[in-house]
Amino acid sequence: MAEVKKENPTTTEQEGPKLPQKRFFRQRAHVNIFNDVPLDYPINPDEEDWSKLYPTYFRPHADKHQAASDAKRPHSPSVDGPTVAPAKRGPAATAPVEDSLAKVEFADIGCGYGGLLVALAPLYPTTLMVGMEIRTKLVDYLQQRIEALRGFQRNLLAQPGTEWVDVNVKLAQEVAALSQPLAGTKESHDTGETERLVPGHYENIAAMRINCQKYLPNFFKKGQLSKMFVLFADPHFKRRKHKARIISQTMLAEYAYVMKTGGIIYMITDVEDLYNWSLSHLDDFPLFERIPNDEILADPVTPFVINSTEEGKKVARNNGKKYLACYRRIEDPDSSEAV
Amino acid sequence: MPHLPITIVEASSKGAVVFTFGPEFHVTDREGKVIASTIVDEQGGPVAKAERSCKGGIRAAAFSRDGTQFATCTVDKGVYIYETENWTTVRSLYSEKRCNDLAFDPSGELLVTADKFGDANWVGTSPGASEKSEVLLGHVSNLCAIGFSFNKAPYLLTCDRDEKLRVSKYPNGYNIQSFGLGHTEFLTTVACAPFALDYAITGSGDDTMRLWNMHSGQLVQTVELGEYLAKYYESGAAVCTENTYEDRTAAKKRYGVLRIRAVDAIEAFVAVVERIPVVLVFPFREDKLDEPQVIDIAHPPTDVAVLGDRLIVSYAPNASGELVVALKLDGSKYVADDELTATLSANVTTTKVEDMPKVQSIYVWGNKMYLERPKGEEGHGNEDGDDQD
Repeated sequence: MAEVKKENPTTTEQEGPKLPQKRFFRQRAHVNIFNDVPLDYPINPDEEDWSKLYPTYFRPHADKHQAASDAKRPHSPSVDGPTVAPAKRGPAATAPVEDSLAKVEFADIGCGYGGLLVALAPLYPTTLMVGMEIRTKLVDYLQQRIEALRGFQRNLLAQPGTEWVDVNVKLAQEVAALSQPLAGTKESHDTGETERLVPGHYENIAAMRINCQKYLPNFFKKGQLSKMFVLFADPHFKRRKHKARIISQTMLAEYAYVMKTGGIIYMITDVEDLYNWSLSHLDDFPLFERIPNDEILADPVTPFVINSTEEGKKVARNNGKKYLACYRRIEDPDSSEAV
Repeated sequence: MPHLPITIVEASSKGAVVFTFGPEFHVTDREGKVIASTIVDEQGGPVAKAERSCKGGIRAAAFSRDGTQFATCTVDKGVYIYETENWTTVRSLYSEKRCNDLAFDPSGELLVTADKFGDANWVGTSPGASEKSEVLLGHVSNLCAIGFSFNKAPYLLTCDRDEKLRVSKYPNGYNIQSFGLGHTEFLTTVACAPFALDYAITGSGDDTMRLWNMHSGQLVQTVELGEYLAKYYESGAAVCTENTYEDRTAAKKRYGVLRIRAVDAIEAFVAVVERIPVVLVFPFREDKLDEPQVIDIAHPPTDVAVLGDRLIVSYAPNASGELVVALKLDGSKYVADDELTATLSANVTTTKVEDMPKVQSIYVWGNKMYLERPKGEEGHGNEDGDDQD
């Protein structure tokens, strides 16, 4: 994960937690995924210390097994060059004992400012979700925001009689608000409750900086994810950049690998070309099957997919069209699967 | 005048051995007699003329499993497929991107290439097959090595520069069986064997070889090469001068694996390491790599090939101008095969050059620190889409 240096909400007891201001976290949209930017990623999923992101769900690795802290993680590019300690590097040959039943099940690929995660968190209060984003500033923003929201929740829990939010009513209000004209230049605020209690208390969401197209299997085991979101992805219009698109013929194999059978990939965009292109690859891909529209509309997640992200709101405000498609991970229809 | 070094040695199941140097290659039979070559006039005798690559140096080469086909890929994106009866070219084509490795599928009907943009493409090997190659799978990284397992339902193994081994089903390459995650640097080579059906062995720039269970992706064993090879740096036998390798960080002690191959005849794996003048033979016993036999050779190797129970090693450029050495089994140990070495040295000669040639270190293309690269090569391997389209 990116090293997020932020003020700890619990230490600013007097003023309470502070939500970060989005305007300080703007970053241009495009990142070249082929570039080697310094990233921190685990050697394999067992080495990832999820306690940094979900402290209520995981114990830090150091408690669990000393080997993790000794293991040298690969760097991209290596910070210290090839001068590595001689011998004994890398993980122990034996996998560390898995003592936590908790695991991340939802992944928002290219989560941006994380509107979807914050909106979904109360709807699936015991499901761990992670937002993955390659742009540092956005990750910093989202992680600060989540930690602030957690801080508000902790304070509210300490006050008896605090009202609990009804997530469905709240969503309906939000969707209605989208049809209103934009009020001046006021910064639109994401969903996220600071005055009422929500199920899960935002302990189940987190953001990490990662190049999903390079390192997804370093974080997730085979069949770990039940939902994956690709919302308003960078369209990469130029033909020579098409390989960099989040949904591409070759990337789908990796998504299928980390998703369990029956898991759903949600894709939405306001760019018709990208939509058609993505659909052609998804339709051709043997491990995904299109979910019919009536089933999509009955899915409780769908309204959030359409409306909760910053991009989604922007498109709605501009009366843009949104193209949604959902696919289910299925077993390999190829009979040669049998070993 | 010095000669070009031999950079790749490939041996077929039928006993043919290919030695590549620059865009040229010679083929010998198992006794070391040249049977085909891209440079015929220098050789003389009844030697088949093989088409020379007109598209730059040979970067990788492979035989089909039955030994009836041979293929090369070149730095200028050329792909050549030969039949090995008369060494005529069956197909020659351009790949869209530069290929780093290639392998025939187990049936020999398709050739799979691995390119520097991370895609593995397949193309038919018969003359009537479609000219166009199709994408089989892709990584978002450079592909460095490729191979097939020997299972009944084979796996395609692809190794990338981002420390990953990917195990995909074949021919349904979209279905990933597992990832082997544990290396901390780029991968350089992968080996499978009929006597180790569940396993793949990878080599890397991280000073290790690793044994994986292909079905689960579990790391079974890590071989720290420094344990066996550190003494070669201490004794000064390891060559790490900039005169031999184009590598700015040449002074560092490293054990970059150049090649791992299976030796079916004795159920072992052989490995060669950059700069270190040895051949390592690891017996495969009880589903593990056993303690290796470390065989000293005269110069650092560039490649090793397995010819039945014999090994043929090509040398990095050296002052004595030696190109190859052969090793044979004496009981259970490998010793120098002086007879074959002498025949090969007499028959296999390479192009003369003005200055002592250099070999590009694997760390030049494997290192992610592009700024460390020689001037003018900073962008090399950094796929900004510059040579796409």
